[in-house]
Amino acid sequence: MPDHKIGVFLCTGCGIGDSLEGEKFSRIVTGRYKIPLFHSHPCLCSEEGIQHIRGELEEKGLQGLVVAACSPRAHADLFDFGPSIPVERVNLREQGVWTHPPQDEDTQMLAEDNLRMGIVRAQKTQPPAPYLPEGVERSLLVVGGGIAGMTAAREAARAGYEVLLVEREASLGGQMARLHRQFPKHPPYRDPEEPGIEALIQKIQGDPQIRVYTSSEIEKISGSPGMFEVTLKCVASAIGMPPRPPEVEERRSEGAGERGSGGKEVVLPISPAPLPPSTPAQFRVGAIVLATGWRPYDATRLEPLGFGRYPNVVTSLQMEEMAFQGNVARPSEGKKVRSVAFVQCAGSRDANHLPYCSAACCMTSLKQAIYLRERDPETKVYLFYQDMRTPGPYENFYQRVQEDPGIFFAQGDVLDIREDGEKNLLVEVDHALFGERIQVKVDLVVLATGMVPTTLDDSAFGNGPQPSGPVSGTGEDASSRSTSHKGESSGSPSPAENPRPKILHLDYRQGPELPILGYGFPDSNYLCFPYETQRTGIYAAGCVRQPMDSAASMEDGMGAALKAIQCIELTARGEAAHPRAGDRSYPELFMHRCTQCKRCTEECPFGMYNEDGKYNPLPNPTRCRRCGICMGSCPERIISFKDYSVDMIGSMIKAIEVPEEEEEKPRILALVCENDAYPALDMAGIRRLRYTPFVRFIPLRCLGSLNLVWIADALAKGIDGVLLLGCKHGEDSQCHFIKGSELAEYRLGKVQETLQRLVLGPERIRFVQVSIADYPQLPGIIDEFAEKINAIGPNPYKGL
Amino acid sequence: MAEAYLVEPDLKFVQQLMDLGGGSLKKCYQCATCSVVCNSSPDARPFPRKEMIWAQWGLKDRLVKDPDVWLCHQCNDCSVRCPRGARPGDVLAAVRNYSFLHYAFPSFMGKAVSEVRYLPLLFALPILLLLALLSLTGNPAALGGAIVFEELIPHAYLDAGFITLGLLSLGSIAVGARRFWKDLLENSASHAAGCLGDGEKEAPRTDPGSEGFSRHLLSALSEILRHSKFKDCEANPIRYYAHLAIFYGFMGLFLTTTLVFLGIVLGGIRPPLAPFSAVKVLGNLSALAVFGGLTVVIYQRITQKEQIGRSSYYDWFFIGSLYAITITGILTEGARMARMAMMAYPLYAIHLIFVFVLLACLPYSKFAHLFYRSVAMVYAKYSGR
Repeated sequence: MPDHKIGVFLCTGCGIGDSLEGEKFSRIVTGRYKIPLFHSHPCLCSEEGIQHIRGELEEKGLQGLVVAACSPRAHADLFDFGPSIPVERVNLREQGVWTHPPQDEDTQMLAEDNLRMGIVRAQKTQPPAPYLPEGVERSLLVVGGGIAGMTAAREAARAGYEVLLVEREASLGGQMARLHRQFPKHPPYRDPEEPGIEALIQKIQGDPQIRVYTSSEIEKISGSPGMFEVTLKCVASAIGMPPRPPEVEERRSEGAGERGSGGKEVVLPISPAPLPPSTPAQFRVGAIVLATGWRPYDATRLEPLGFGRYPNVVTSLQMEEMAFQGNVARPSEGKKVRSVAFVQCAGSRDANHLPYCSAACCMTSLKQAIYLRERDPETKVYLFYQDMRTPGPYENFYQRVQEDPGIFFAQGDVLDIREDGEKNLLVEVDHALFGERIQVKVDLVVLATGMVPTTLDDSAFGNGPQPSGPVSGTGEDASSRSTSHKGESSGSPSPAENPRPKILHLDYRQGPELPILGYGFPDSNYLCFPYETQRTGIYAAGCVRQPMDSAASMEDGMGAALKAIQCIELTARGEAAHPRAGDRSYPELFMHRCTQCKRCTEECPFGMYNEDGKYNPLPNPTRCRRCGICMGSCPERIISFKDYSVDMIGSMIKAIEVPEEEEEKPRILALVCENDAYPALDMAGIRRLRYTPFVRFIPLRCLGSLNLVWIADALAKGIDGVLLLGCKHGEDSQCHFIKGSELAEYRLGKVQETLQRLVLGPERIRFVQVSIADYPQLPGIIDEFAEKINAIGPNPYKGL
Repeated sequence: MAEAYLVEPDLKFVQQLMDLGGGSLKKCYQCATCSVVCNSSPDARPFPRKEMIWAQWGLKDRLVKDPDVWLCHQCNDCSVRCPRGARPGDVLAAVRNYSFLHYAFPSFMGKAVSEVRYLPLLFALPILLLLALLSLTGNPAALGGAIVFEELIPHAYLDAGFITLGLLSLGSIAVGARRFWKDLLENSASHAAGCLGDGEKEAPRTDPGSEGFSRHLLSALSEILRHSKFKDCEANPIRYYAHLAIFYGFMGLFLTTTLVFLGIVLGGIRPPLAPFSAVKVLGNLSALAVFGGLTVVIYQRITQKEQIGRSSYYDWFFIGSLYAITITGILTEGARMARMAMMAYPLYAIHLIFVFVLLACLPYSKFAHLFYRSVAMVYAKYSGR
């Protein structure tokens, strides 16, 4: 693109000038690429250096810049001259002089190749024109009127956004409205508190920014961020909150007056909720918060623990319901309960049931133990646990409960639960702290069952009851302890294979519901990107995202609401939402050459493409995260970004100078994920680690944008080996775009054909998974591959 | 496999332990730091971690039959190192206090010594007895002349009275100690049956018979006389010397009393003895040793609550009465030598009252630790603990 006017600036600071010959760079820039503007500066990142660049930009009317200096990850803010001036950074420092010997021929060649690639890239880059849809809607849809959803709605409203709050049941409140007490949420974290959900419900109902639709469900959602079209429908069978006996209500109100958080807050009975829409109602929203919460794990699967077999074995939720009704009694004959055994991790942290911890059951049982003891100080409470998990300040609560002389804690596996002639229960436990098997006789057994996200069906987990072994917890199965990470435990069927409840009814080509990761939670990456689902503009909050307590759910609601607002605002500016926040580029399709192969529509992890009747991809740019996975998937190479394309990377590869075979200087192309592997390389540079100077790095937005033609280009040019550095995928996935590195490895499987055609061995191409913490190993990985390539010998296509 | 042990926690017992000085027992979270730092604990089935969970679960039966509770010499290393402030040393002391109550014979006496509200009753009896004796044999004229205590109350009465009381107390403690010994053996039988967990079975221990018993008794006695277990408690070496002084001082006083008694009965030697007679010197040195030791102990209990532990009523009752006897004894002698009759006689009377109380309460107060601990140590020798 000769009319594209760019300037090249070389920084000679940080050892670059001492190690490399600037004169040779000048020849490349002005000679080979005929760019008249080449400046060298001893410290480009100084104020004076930046002013110098600015002056040249204005004076010469440059349309793009090449800055040959440090890594693009350094001083990104200094070398930002606005969206209309693309800046290409050539890494001569971290991946040049800091990792290779000074005044060395090979170091010089490496730096020169880097410069050539940078210039080519700059020449091929156009300033992106943002995708600006008309009439971006700024209101939010919140699905689910529990504590997380209500908090999201309230926080969004407080930030000035209109909210549509949809609740399936006849009244707001969710699980919190069914609680007798909640475990302490305020210092000193010692005593159970009133749930206090009524105050929040009233705030929601009195907020003019929030429209509440109870007894309502989503019939359909179409469109994309900034322009979702939502259709609601009425739920005929919606249930309301169970009424409390009047005396309980009265006592609660008094108690709330004393202990309520605000002190002055008057707690009124829950007022009747607004009616649902009589006919299907249509709304337009900008972003969505999914806060549909959880259901308890199906206790009928816990038959070995006596549930369903013995009337006096109940779940935590049933216990809470009894307390809520003010009538804690044995279900068998209504007799008073004088002794209770809590069985923790009932059907949790167990490969045969829920493999994970539900985070709140320990505190729930502690709370129930306390109120049972307060009701009747003669009550004996046994608590059988695997590990008490009371994180953070909840430790104070645990300690307070431990101090109660009538509560007996025991770590150990529950081996058996039997009933005697009087419907009492004999619980046998392998008491780890006594070092022996013990038995207790109790009136009631409470199973602390875990949480299942509403996005999942119960049947998704486990193989049902097991005939032998401990029936609770993880005692026998050490492997299930270690699966505290995401991922499906081996042996049990994948949650994804099971029928999924319908909640969002998305009109997306890839399906109506959110994709799920391990354990069935609709995550994209729970560590790096909380709240973000695999559908842009839809954010999960509360227990539908991950099991948590009400305090964390409130935090989640807040976080998800802010993420949703960010998404709306970025969409309105034509910029990408996370993780490439602010990116103005978006994929453009040259549809004339499309063969309707459907790869892009299938492979996009975010469901960006819909399809018309003839399998043509229909892009929804505001759903796009700009990873380029579709670009990599397209065999016709018709998908490009203004500043990132198949042709651009191909041209960069072609810009690498490959020496003749006799020179014995092999060349290795490394295509590097810019999210983890590239920073790891920079860190290796910062620590002055050394590796072969025969390697040339090209950063990719995601390894999933790898187009196989690049490998063919490289090999045809005589490059001896290709190394692909991508994120870890699989169980401990670290890919920023869900499955980019996985797709890249999958595509590589197909490259064998090309290699055979070229009569080259498959070992010339290697895929390595790298996490950012692997930087100390990176030089070893690169050198080892280089040695391997050396052993194979030069690419026979060299020099052709 | 044996039947699982049916656990029935005794809520009242938990509360009692908490009241008897183990108020922190529920704080334990079973990290076993205590068992690790304890110098007295054996490697197999160490204490006091297991005692802590039994205490939390209110397993009275196990605790009173547990010899380990008595192997603890309460240096409180465990309490100081406990990360949760559960103070295992104090809890074991509370269990021992409970044992005094549990093995008390007759049991009402145990109760009378366990609570401060019965204290006036305990003193009422000796006061009344003394008043009765004075009204029967009293010779007010004696107050005028040289101070001769014989003049106030004839020694024969006192000797007869205290010897009877002593024999009753010894009989009573013998019953308690015997019950304890039987419980220990029974406990050992359940160990053998594998009911007591830890997966370690022991050979059943039956009664070793008097010969075996005396062999282990001698070995334990030598340990007690040398205070060697006491010395294992490194944290507080002063306590070792203090206890040693009290122990040997008390023995010295006991010997003095016996010699004086024999002197009266056999040799017709009438006290007071000459100031520098061997027996008198022994008595005076012993009294000073007990006084010095107790002073240190009391000072430490008041100023070093962390290390010594919370002192219970049992502690103060025992220390207090012993201290009172020593002080009144020394003062009485001093008053006599100073010829202060108006001081000497009342002090002597008070002294006698405290001696009575200490002797009468021997089987039920902390005094009894001398016997229960010895039994437990014999058992420990015998069972290879």
